[in-house]
Amino acid sequence: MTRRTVSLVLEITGLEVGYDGVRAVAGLSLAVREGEIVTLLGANGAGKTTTLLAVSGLVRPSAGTVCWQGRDITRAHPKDIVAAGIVHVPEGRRVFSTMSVHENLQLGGHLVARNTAAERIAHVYELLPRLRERRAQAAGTLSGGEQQLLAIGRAMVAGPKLLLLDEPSMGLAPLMVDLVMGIIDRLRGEGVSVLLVEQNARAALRIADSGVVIENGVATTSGSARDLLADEAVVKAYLGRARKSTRLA
Amino acid sequence: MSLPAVLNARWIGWLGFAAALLAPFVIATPYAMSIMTSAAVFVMLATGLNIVVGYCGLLDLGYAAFFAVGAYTAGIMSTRLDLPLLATVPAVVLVTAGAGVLIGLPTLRLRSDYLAIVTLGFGEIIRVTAGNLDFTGGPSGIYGIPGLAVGGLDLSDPVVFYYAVVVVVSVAVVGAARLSSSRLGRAWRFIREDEDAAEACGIDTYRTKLAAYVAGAVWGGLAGVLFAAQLSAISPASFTFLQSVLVLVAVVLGGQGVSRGVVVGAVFIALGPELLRDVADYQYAAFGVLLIVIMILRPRGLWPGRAGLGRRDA
Repeated sequence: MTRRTVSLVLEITGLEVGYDGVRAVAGLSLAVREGEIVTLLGANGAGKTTTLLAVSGLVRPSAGTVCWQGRDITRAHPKDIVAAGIVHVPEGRRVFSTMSVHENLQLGGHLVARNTAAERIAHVYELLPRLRERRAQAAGTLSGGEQQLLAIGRAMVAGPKLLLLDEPSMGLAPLMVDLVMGIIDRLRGEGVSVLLVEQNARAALRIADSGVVIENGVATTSGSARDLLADEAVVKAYLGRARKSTRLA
Repeated sequence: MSLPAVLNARWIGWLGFAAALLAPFVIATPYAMSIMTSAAVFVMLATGLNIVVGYCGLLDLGYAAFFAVGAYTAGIMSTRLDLPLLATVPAVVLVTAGAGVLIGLPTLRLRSDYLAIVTLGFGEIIRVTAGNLDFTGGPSGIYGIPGLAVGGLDLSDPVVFYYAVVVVVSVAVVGAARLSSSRLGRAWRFIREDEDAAEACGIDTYRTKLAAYVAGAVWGGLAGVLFAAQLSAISPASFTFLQSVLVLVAVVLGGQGVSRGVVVGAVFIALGPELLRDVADYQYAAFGVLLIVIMILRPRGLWPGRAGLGRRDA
């Protein structure tokens, strides 16, 4: 994972989000560079998911700014944020289970021209041949891993420049985790930046360029993935003891 | 061909259309023509509500309101302004679409159960208002509405009128089905399945829901025009909560979101009580039991689900 000196695409400054008076995110700042995978680490309830929701406009921050390619998108409509190139793959995959794999992919292209969408769907099928095999099948009948691939594929059809991925490896078999992480790595190769929230911190740091540790809604530590993997405090808090936890994950 | 494949074939629609066209050759008594015409109008209502409830998943308990707005707009304009009924259609489309926007704009931000309550209230408001205003004729309503005529051609003969209604309703049914397979229709189904995920994918859920609501309103309003033409008199008593519920029952019975299933459900609901007339006093009780039995046996509606989906090949 080579460090690149490229421009910032996403800049979150002093973000605050509250749910009914409880502050889930309390003054969080972080940045994502072009073509970089940044992973958010932190305990349950630290504010990782809320941060992603605020970036994609699905929850409204009470303070702070989200800048995308130099433009303030803090209170933009979710539709416009998708159109600007930020696509959110929500936690728990959320594929449309009674609709076919192909229809799910078509949804991803809701905002793009029909033939552009068709080209991108063809590209997704190329990258993920499993989905092509199951294109006419109802999405709900796919395995968990396949549904995750479908959710990522659906996001790809929107033509993202930044993907927000929330727990893509949750509940997946180890082999599937590797496949999903491989796809994310591959997307970076195509120039897509990724903001990745992952319970499986070790797997995430393995493909990430950098990581940000979030505690109680604030970013406390950040650094390159390599540095974080070498940081004893981080390892102890979020990665557990080496080896054993990987097998369990 | 398996049963679902047969039922999803294109020619099934033509078969239904042909059956509707041939029905008067089997029985053409004034009574039969009257209930068959009512059934066809009811199919149009159910098709319209299916756009809202079936395609988009928005529970509407006051759908008769749009039926009323359409019928009253046509009735008032044709009697007061001496317009032929056909000439009121553009105004009916505008007024019902406006009513759809008016009620949809504040309520579609709500989730389903709240929406159901607000639409229920809206249905009652329209009915009670129509019963109390002078220009809507108060409780006695509007009478002397002219029959349907196209150019100089009078279509008010019961059999001729039936055919005219069948043609209009068929166009409405096909139109709704086309709409459901369009980009907009796909967006409706995604919202029905998971509104949050749909929004995350870039669908403007609010506007898309509003579009479904307005389309449903226009369908209901046009059904109101046919209703006014058929009866030549309308009053608030025709647009009760029971009417809204019966249309909803037709949609659920037929299979929400399945256009052709909803047609079958509507015909069943419209003709069922008539066919049960022999049991006189127990007519509606028997009908209720029948509905319960059907929903137990076929909880997803009379029409089988889409072929090929739901099976796993692995």
